[in-house]
Amino acid sequence: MTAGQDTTGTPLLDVCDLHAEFRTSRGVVHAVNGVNFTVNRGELVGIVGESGCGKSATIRAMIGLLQPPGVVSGGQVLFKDKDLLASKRDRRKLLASQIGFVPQNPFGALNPVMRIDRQFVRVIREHTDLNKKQAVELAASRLERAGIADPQRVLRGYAHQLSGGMAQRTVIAIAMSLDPDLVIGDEPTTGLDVTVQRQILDDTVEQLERDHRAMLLVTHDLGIVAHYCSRVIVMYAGKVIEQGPTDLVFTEPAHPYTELLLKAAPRRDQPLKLSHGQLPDLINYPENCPFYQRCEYRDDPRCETEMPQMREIQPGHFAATYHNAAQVSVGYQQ
Amino acid sequence: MSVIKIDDVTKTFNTPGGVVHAVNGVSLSIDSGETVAVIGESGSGKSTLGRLLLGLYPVDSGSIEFEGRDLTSMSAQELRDVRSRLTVVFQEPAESLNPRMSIGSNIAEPLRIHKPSLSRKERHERVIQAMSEVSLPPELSDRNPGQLSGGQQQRVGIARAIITNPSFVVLDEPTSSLDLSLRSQILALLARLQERLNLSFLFITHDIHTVHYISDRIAVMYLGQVVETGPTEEVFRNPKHPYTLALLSSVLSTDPRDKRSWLKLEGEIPKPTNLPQGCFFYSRCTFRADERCATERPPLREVSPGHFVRSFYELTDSDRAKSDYAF
Amino acid sequence: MSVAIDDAVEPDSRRSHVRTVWTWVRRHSGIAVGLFVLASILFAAFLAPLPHDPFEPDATAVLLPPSSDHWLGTDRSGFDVFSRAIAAGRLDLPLALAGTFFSLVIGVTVGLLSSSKGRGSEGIMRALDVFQAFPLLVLAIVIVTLTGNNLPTVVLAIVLIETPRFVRLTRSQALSIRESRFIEAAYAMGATRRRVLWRHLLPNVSGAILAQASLAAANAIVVIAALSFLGIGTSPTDASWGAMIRSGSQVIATGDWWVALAPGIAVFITVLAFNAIADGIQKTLEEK
Repeated sequence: MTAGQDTTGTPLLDVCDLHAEFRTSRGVVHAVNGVNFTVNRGELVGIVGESGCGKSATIRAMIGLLQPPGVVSGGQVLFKDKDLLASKRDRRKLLASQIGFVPQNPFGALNPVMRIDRQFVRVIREHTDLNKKQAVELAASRLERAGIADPQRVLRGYAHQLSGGMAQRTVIAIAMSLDPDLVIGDEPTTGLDVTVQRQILDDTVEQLERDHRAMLLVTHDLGIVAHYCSRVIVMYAGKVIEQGPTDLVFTEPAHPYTELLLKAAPRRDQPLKLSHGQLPDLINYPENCPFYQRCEYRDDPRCETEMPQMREIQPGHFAATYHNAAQVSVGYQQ
Repeated sequence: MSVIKIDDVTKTFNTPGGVVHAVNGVSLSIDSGETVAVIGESGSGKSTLGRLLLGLYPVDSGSIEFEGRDLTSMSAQELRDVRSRLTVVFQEPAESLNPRMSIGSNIAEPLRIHKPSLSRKERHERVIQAMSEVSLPPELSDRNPGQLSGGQQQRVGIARAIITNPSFVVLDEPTSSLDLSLRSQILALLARLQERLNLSFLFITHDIHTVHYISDRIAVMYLGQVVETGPTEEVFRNPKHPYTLALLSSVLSTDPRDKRSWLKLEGEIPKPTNLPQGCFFYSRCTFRADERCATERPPLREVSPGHFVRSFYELTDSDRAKSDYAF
Repeated sequence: MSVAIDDAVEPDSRRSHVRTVWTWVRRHSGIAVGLFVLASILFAAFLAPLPHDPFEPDATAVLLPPSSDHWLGTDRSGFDVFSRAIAAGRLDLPLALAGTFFSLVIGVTVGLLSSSKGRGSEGIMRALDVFQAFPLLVLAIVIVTLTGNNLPTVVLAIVLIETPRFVRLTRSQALSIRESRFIEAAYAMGATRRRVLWRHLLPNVSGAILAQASLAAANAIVVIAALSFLGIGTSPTDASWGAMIRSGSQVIATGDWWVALAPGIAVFITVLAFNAIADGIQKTLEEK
């Protein structure tokens, strides 16, 4: 049904035709418009796009964190064949024990007036049979695994006593404490120092790979995706416009927007590529390609009139564009 | 011929959590037409340094010379007058504009302060001119900041910073809040303005890519000190301080085939309220090659023309190679 | 959720002045209606021709129920209730507005002064706390009776009651805005503290202050009515809603319901109008 399905079995996560919108005084903003993708067991997948592309809204719609005036208006989110959108109760159960969520701001996820051990133990005991002592031991071991040198000190303290990096490691430890099969990160390291980001990502991904857990990482940082994710999903204006193995998508991008993103990241050996034009109106969503206004190619007559559908460019590599990018390569120095 | 000369400047803050040593003996000079980038992570003191330069905080010790005059010994009024020649562009464009004033008024504000004798017509002309320098359509001058996009707002901030014909602009992370595709636009604009208007820049940032594109010289800051400084190309090619190497090598390229590792740091950054006795970087350093590292603070030494390092140990080529670092 | 649009210039279509005003009215309907009601009351109170002289009682027409001649009946002294209720607007509304105005000026000044870092500011806040611990209406009654039973003291009482809220609001708004980036930018441009205060700080707190002023005025109307109900502040010959309500309350038991109705409704409508204005301003501020 969707692109990128692993032939070795049913995917862990299968998002089908997801739609979400925001009802504002100016009109209905179509934030997520028919998003399809899958994540297989043990796979590390990245979702990239600039602000306003709908990646955060997609994640929040998926796990039921969409706040009014946002509302899910269609589609299915199948996690191990159970539709997360259908039952709120199912979703809550699954979310805590089988899907871990790491948001961008760790201090928003941690309760500022509760000691860390209390918060952590509460999560553990809600979903397991462990007694308090066992739960604390588990918490300490998970904190250590997440790269915290002195877990006891962190447990006995409060959130505000932690640095940004340590707080995020704590949140990651909590999210992974119940051995979820899928960890979703919504810009989990944005805002942290570069060296701290690298430290945390190295440690976390190493752990994920060792435990064969899947990861869905939402970020605007292409470098992170290039380095840690085996598959990438590129979003624009609420749609998935390209997806496939990172190796392929980042070296031979098929969609002009992906090409633009890759060239916009200033690189040592290349002059900066400028972009012009504007995002499409999400209230009056265009009937043709949403990237038309900013596209420098527009080399197919259908670009102006029809909405391009996802098509297979190479095995496993899909893009929604009429542009024939066969000759394009981003040209890295060897 | 230096436009700015910062000499051994120190700044501390009294907070409920203790005395924060934000800037610890920083010296830096910037020549006419030059861009010096100050790069560092949170707590490095780079933003405080920018504000000291602008006179928004007084220094605890040391001096700052601008166009040959000592800012730290000026009267309040003299300092205010200097600000027509020494301007700033802040990080969050939406927040640095007065939301209750039109775009035109926001841009004109420095003129109202420093050239109150201008007629309304003259002022308006100069506003339009500044707007065209930053490629903003003049129709926007009646709008409110909230009606503009992030990229447009930042250009307003830049227009406001150049309208009094300054010689020096402090840029405090001007592109960090912007999307990737907008960053390159703004950087290109700044480079163009620098040439046209013969400006000198102090570019404060934590983004390595930006630094390489826009700066002539670079100063790497860590816990309020400059740990390495020199011509950008030189420092990027031959980083001599372990922190610089860690910083530069931590940057992830968008080429997925590039599987290089980095000089991985362990441990936590010391708190600025409790600075170590020896080298500030000791707690995260994986070399610690000299016995003085733990107990003495290394001075800044010149290791090659214009290239200074604050360390008892200089990185060698093999150190860099072991970390997969190549530029 | 906002959508970033770069390089876009939304066309600002040319409209005639009338249409611009009408669009404003439609978007800010609460404020527009409230202002209209208040303006009507003031206009009617001072300028409108009234069916009967509100200050000349007709001794022959005492306690008459509503009729085509006396639309809302007459009271114990023979005054036409309808005309007198409208004329009372000459007193109550301007008193409330004056009281609110002075408390605003004093309160905002004190609030701004106490928002700069200094030991004096804490002292002012503690003094306010002590002051607000008293039941202010009782305080107002005491003050008015002690300093003289006349109109200026009523204004004084209003000022005493309303000023604290302006001080607190201005101070908290100023404190939070002082930390804003654009204030820092203003100093970085070389603005003096005075300029930052007038040109950057004040315009950004004025919205909240105006909303509060409207609420304060609503409160003032009620206080004035309460005072004149008790016979304090206004003299018996003045037409005021509170006094009218009082005289109406004395005859309600005997079935003459109309005397208290008009002034009661007048107070109600006025308070509602002020509240609508305050709500409208709040909503506009939230939208930004």
